[in-house]
Amino acid sequence: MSEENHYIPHVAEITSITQETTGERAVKTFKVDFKDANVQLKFKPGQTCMVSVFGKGESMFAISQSPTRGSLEFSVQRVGRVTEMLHELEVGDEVGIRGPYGNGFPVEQWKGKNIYFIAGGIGMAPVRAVMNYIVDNKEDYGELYLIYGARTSRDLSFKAEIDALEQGGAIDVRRTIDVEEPGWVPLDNKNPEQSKFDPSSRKFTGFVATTVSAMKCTPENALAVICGPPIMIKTCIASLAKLGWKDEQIYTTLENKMKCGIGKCGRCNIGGVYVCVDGPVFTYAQVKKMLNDQ
Amino acid sequence: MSKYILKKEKVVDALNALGNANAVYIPVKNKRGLVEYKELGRDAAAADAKFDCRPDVPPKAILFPQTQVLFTFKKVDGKIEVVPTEPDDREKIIFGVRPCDAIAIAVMDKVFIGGKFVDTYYKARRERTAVISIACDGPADSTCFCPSTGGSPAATEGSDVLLYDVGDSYYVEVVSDKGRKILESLSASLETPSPEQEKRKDEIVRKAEAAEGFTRSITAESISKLDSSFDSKYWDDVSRRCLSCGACTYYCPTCHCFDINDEPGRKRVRTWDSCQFSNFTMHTSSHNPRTAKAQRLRNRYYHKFKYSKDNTGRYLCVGCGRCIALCPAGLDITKVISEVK
Repeated sequence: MSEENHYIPHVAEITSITQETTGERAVKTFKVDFKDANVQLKFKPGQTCMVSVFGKGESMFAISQSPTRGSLEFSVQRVGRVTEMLHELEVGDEVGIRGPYGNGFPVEQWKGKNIYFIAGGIGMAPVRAVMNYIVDNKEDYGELYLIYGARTSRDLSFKAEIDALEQGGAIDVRRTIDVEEPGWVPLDNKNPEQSKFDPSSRKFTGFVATTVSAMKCTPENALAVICGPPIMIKTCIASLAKLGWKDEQIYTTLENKMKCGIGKCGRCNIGGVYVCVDGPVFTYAQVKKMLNDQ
Repeated sequence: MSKYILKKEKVVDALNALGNANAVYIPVKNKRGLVEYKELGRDAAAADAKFDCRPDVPPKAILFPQTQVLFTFKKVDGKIEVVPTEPDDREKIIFGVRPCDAIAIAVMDKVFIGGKFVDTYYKARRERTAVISIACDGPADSTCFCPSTGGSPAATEGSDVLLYDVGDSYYVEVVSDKGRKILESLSASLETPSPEQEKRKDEIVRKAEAAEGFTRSITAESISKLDSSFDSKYWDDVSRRCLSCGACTYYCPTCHCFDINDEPGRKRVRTWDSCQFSNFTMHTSSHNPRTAKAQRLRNRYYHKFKYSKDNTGRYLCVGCGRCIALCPAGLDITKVISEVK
């Protein structure tokens, strides 16, 4: 068969594992290298891959590192059968990779813009890929902001990497957590706009959407990338809308159960849109046009 | 187009002759009394062929098997090696296909071969498959409605050869080069049609073009109502009877949803799945976009009559009527679409 067989994964070896967070729903970042040196994966930030644990199955994951960094990485939260098996693996173990799938973020169209990266929980995985891509091409873009939230400070991933970006002045970073902890400035979730926002503070207690409102993200010459749990995406979009943002300025990623990744198996559709090939990146304007099938 | 006559008394010999060089699939009655396609010489004898009805089961599984091993893997010195399944490279002939099912193959070609990504497994089988169809003399069953979906009892799309039942013989029409080559191997059994046989065939075509005898239909107007009825309460009402059993999808010649799983024996397997099953769209997080029966039923009808039409230009329904005939709850797709509000 000369044509590419899209169902066959390439065998890859895990070359490093970073324990990002611990606990019941721990997150680990896996760096992988293809066994066959001829296999090269050309991908864009925001694209996804099917990752196999042979004998257990495969699942779709966002690639969590920018193509500019020269490594293929996936950041996986332990939530189900395949992810539990992935978390059991060690450096040197083998997985299967097929892809990349999906459209990715339209980074070329974003040149010259200020960008607000807004992430909640494991939604930071695709955001990290596109954020690092933009940081690595910083001269093409305007001001960069990251608003990143998790349940507690222990649930924030990529700590050292984000700290380094912040200290290097590449990006303005604001972290938020749901439950109060010492040293974290409380914001008022009920009256976000009235929350006292001290621009010198970096760590807040409050929902991500509250921080977005309190920070008064400005829509002029800007766009926002929002990834995270559905409720967080919804509330952040509402916050931005109040600040005068247009639907076309807001980008998000959708997810659905997927099996093939190539628009055949019939389960990731939202109306006539296949998330696996038409997405996962959509503007909020596109999402609004979709049928109420979620 | 070249025309011939194949006497019915010569069909058994013709099938056996074709079976020498090809895997030939013919409709036969199975143990449960359902007519389905079986492989000649392996699961069926030529004399058992049943050409006088719409088979209960479409020939879908010949190109898209219900269970298909995509690859196996093994550990060599502790390292994983993936071994893709060798494609089934036998030349295949599906004999006695109804025009709706032949059109369904053309529709499935769009799904699996058309578009950006090609399904290697489907393509390998499809390229080696010829379709010899038998025109229907009017609707083959009271549940048929092929003219409503752009088909016809004498449609040639998807077929390589089309036969017309003209009494004691089949009138043979060549549709494609692939068909011509197959007929060359049967030339000894073929004769020239008489004027009487021509007339009989023309009558079948005339009836087909006039869509004579059909009692069920779906109008374009009803289908266009789907544009504005997605959020209608109608879907709750109409789905009440549905058992979510998936029979409609399994017997449908164009339903192609599938699952992929790893099975014991170190193999990854693709199996038919159904959008009517409640866990079909369930996320790992247990969020499920289509938890309600109404949502799943609606998705199937919308996929067939709107999404597919919008995305590929044609319906994902060929009007074969099997889902009507086999639904244990008596749901009728023509009625469901016609009464959309």
